[in-house]
Amino acid sequence: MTEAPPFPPTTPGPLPLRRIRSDRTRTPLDWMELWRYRDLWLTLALRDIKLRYRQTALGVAWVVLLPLIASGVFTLVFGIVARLPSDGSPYFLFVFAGFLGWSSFQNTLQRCSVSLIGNSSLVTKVYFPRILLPASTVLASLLDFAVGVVIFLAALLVRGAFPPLSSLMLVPLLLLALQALALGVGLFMAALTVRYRDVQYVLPLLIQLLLYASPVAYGVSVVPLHLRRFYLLNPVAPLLDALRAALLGRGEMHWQAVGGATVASVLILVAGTFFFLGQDRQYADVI
Amino acid sequence: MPTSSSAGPALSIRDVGKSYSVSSRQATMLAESLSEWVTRARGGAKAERFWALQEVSCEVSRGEILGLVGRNGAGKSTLLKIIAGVTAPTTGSVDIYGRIGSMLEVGTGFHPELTGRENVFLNGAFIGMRRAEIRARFDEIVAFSGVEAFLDVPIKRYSSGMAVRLAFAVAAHLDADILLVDEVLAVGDQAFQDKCLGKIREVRQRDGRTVLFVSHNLAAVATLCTRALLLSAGRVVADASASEITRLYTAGVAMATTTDEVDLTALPRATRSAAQCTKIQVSALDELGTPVDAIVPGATVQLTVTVTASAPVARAFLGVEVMDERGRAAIGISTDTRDGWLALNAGETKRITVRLLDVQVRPGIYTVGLRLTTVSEKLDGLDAVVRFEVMPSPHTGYDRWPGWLAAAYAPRFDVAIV
Repeated sequence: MTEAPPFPPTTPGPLPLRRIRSDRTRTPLDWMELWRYRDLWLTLALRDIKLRYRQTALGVAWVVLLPLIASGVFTLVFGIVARLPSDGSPYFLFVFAGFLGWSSFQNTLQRCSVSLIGNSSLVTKVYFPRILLPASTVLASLLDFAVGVVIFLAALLVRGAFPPLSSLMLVPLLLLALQALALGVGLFMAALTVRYRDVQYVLPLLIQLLLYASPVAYGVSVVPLHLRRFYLLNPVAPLLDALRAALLGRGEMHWQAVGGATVASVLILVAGTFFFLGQDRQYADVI
Repeated sequence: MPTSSSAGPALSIRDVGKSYSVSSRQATMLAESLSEWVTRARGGAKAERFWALQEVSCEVSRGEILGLVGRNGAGKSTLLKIIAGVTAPTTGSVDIYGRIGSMLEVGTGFHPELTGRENVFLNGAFIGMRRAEIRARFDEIVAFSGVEAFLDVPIKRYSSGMAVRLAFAVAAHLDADILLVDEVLAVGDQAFQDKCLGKIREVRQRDGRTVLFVSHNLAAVATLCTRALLLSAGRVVADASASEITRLYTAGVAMATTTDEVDLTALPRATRSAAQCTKIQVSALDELGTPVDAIVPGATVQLTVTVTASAPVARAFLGVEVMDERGRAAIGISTDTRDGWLALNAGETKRITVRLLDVQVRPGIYTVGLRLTTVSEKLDGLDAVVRFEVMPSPHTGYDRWPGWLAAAYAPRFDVAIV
């Protein structure tokens, strides 16, 4: 047997110093460290994507099937039975466009909230920036969204009602704001779930309520005018509405509300990050 | 203390302590958390704390291989976890010079559904390797692990030995300045264990890396480490050469002579439970059941364990594990397999007598570990409570146990040659 090639020598001279302090201190947001661990972020995200549909008969088809089925049900209930308006688009595509944004939001939020407790063996045994666990859930949601959008645009192309490019350019920006919001709330939920498993029971209920309080199954136009300003206070609502308008290439943009919701999303993301890092030193002991 | 040529500080541990709340359960419900907060606000009794580590200070130079020795619950693993950054110390601080690679538990981050190949990348990423780094070392890692043939099989189809070898291979190829190794060698066959020890030694000699090594394998600690710490009940009781520490450690375990009863109440335990092993007595019997002084291969070894309950216990059973000098399990039995169930009222004391018949082990020193459990709950767990020596006996042929034979146990056997 041949000798293994020697290790490259360790860094010569003085080595970088890291200091571990007591658990009374909060973890600072260390961008340099996050950058060094960027491969782990990617590996975690890829792991989740690979694992999601392993040992399923339909595999990746679920990415497309789930929103299609949900959109179908909503079309039946709200479009055909309740006959709500869809601002000139076929009701199914109208709901589908809303659903694409909604599921990206919901998936990130849900996966974030269990990202720590679902990986408790890692949290108690290896060191890495914990924030990578919730943060890595975003990639899967983006991927699902991308697949969904391709199907959606293909359908529009067949109908010959392809949205203008200027409108499509807004999609990534709106999606980013929506993901920032989901991650921000998700960071709160992830940290809280470690200590209070109650979150696991409350969150699905809240998500259900939020779905009906957001323009997914119906359009903002059915909300009475005098209630609309309150309705649009929910930051998910203007973002989803604008995302749908951008995808369909038609519909009214509530710019003021979208701007407000974007600012709110960023603030919630910052707050969530600080909340998460404030608890960071205790996860391994409490989980 | 030997210092290597590249000596500079690698680790500086200052006054590190770690405490946990004694209540076995953390406040996981809002209501509990609130009531706790109210009691504290009223100035009520402060939650009792258990100190897993206290006032640990130590300077480690680059290139040292530091062994951590101590019983279960002495705080070895907690110290490694703090150094690794997994859990934060309650008091004190640790300065770390360079990149740390930890193997706190083998196969951490291995996902059963993913293939060996995918898990190498995942595991590597967890211990801080870049994907490109792993790719560059991939063939080397796989060759070291010896599981080439199973690379594209999900880990859940691996034997535990294979998974361990793969995990160690990844960690051994990590480009870290300080490597933390915990109990990796408890698994895997002798050949692989030797390979791992060789690798650790090689890592240090070639590049002056620092290694922190926790193991029950005292022989490995003695031969591998340049220095060791002896921990007891969360404190460093000795900081000396590895051979001195292993001598101190084994001296601390009472040597059983027949008829002596060894008191176990003073041993540190991590948790309080309904029942504890309070005494143990080891004796040897000859074929007629009369006590004899020396334990020889083939003897009957009788262990009498006294169990005292502080709360009622319905169905408990005792596990006994006997380890050889290298920390490897030589004998293991559990009383439930012989319908040996124990029921105790609060305050009651009972004695369990286990007779190990025909103990065909090689001459040497053995340590006894005890596990008292119910089906659902661990009541007491003690490592190395007592030692006994098995003497060579000219009648059995076991005085000529070949040195290359790693096994401690040999059944009665015969040979025919035609």
